[in-house]
Amino acid sequence: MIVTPEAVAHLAWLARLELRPDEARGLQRDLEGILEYVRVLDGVATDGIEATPASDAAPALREDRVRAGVTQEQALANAPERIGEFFAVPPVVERM
Amino acid sequence: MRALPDTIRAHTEAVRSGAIRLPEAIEQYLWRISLHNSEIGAFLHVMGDAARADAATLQARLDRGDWPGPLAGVPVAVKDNISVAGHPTTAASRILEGFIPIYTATAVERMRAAGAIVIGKTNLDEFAMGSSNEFSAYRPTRNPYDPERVPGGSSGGSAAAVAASLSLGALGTDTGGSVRQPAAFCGLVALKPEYGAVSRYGLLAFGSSLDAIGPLARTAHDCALLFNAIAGPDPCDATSRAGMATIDLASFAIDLAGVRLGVPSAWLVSGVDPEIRTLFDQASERFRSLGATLRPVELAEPSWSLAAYAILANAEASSNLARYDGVRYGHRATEVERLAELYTRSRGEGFGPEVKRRILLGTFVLSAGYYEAYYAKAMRVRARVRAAYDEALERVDAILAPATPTPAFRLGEKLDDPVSMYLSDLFTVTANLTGRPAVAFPIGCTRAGLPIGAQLFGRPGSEGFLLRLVHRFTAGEPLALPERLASGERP
Repeated sequence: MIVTPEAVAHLAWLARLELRPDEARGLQRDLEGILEYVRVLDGVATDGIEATPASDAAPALREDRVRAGVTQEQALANAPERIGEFFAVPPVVERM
Repeated sequence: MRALPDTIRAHTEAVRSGAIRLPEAIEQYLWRISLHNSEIGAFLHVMGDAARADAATLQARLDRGDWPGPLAGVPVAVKDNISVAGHPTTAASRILEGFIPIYTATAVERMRAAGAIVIGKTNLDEFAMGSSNEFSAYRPTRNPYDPERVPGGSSGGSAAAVAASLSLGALGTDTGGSVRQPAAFCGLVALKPEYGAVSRYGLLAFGSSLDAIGPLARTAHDCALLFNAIAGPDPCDATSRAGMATIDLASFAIDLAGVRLGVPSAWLVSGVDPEIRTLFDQASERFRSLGATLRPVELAEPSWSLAAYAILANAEASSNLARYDGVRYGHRATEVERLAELYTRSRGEGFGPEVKRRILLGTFVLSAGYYEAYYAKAMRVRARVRAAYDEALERVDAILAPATPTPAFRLGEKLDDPVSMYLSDLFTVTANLTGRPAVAFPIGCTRAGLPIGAQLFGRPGSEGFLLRLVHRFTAGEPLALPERLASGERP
């Protein structure tokens, strides 16, 4: 499968990943190699086979009871930047 | 001071009898780490002060006659993608440089509750993505048996720490073979438990339908001790399951007469290193001489499993790693004007090459137009892999297979070829796709002195059975410590 530079750029945008030009070229080649390898699956008959979940068991639900959680200070403890009790980020909405 | 016991079992016996005292023992381990870690690179963060404090507290309890538990005073290492509150947890990624978790993983809490002392956080391939530890953003780990070679990955630091006797046991994580392949490269026993047997609360997620936390140790008995400590349901992890049996260590010995082992003979035909093939045949013969019967079984082609794994694991990784965005924790790009730029630049700067490769691949197989051909197809192949596996285990009690196609390779050897690196997991991924338990264990060394491992795959809940088979096979003995590291006792 041919992976175009435009496809790599589009995937990088979907994944919110900035790539240097040399990185993007390398990744283009790598993706082609990996997608070539996984072509082995084309030869596996899967008609009528249902996709399988990771576990046969139903998820165990815990009792619905209030318990102590994370405090605001703890939640903010690793923030790269904060303003008071908020995570700080660059502007999201442009001024008109 | 006398030589340190080389197994958890011997260590706890010596602690119980008073033959060793914990503060001195922990000093010995910290001394060995200071001596060898600069070369081996097993630890990213050594928890010296915390370990000393724990040793003092535990020794005081022992002196009062209060037995802390089955892991009394055992120095353990924890892979650095598992959170320990108050200590750096980076997953060997720049994107988490300086990150300090605010809670501790359940598996770690439980080891501590059983008396273990966490001595440090071990190196790994960034976010557990890799098979050599060369994708650590900080430094590679080297194989204690030959420092020119890799320890395997992604739990390479955990394996190297135990193999070099810098700790007695370790926690690793296994998404496609990441405790078993390094255990094979470093001469250890490692268990990938049944999916859901061990809580993943506090684990930095990679592939959520595949990830398992598992122990690495020098013997099957030690692995069983660690597994018993960490296994069991946890209200903080909805995928953890009740009703998983703990291993009865009082009746750990096993008679192999009548035990039926299946060998997927088609796996051995091509691509297996000749020395591994020879050692594997000798191991099969040993199982037979101990009374087991061996018969061929048919499993799915390992290449199918590996291809399905490459799609599914990376699809899940691309979703799981979306949380690293530079907003709430971790690396944040500077001089950024817009939020979208904050995301793309923080992630572009913070993630290393293998993680970027996998995020892009995962994004691709989940993207519109390709989802059905790749992701959905891989899910159906996964169902076939599991069906063939469960069918084979209706006719045998366990499946014996090589752990890896090659011995530990040289640093740099596979770094530029992602597919050849992925092939390291050829024989291990089946256990993750099926969710069933598997154990890797040493079966000997190559002529060059590199450890070689085999695997046993089992039915749901067979962790204890598999470890008992290994216990019998190895006669309970660990592989000898690499000669070059045997010295290093504190003067």
